[in-house]
Amino acid sequence: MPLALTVALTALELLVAFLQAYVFAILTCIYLNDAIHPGH
Amino acid sequence: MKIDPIHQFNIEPLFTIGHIGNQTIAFTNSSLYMFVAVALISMLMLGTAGRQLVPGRFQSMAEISYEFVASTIRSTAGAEGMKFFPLIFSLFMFICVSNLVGIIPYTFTVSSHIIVTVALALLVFFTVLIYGVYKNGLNFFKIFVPSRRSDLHPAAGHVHRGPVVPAAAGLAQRASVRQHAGRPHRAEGVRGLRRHARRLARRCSAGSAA
Repeated sequence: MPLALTVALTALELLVAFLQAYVFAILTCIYLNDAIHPGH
Repeated sequence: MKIDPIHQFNIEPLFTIGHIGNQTIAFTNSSLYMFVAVALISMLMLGTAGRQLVPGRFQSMAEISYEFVASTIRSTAGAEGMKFFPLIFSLFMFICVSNLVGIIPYTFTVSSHIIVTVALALLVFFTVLIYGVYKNGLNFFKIFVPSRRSDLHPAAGHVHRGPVVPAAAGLAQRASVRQHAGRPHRAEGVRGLRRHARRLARRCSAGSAA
């Protein structure tokens, strides 16, 4: 049972690791969109 | 066994590079893992630069990450945003890979220190600011002002002008048509819809005959 929990939490950590990079990238894109096409 | 949950965040100097005043400039475990992340990314991207027609697993990973970032940029910043692809791809891969390395026990997670993420965020901040002013001049700062469309929101009391009106009129019209059809818009399954369509068709043909 502790092993299953470790596996589940590691899967969650993988998700968070990816999510941080994704959020960073998508926010960068949105801000750059404001710089490229302002006034929407 | 004594549990020491903070130890994994300690920054330890590995060797000294030099001094600025009284401050020691050292190559730390944090620097080491930044190099590890960059080395892993370089191996992934440069190691698959041969571009086989049928990609192996590493080339597939490289292609998937390229396509993922490229489609994110195209959908949020448009085709013009692709000129910033190198920046965004580097940011994405650096954060993702250093996080993934940090999951391995006894390694150091680079992005667990706010100075790293702040440095990356400031890089983006100044890139956007400088490029925005370079491209649009002072008009760039209009992004801080609400656009005119929001002034025309019905709640603002300007219902009688602007592009909102035709849309609202269309909606009202459609609602009244629905009322005249004698049946509220409701999901009733395919059979109900079919019955409804037949009734409408009958009414239409009756109308054209009259």
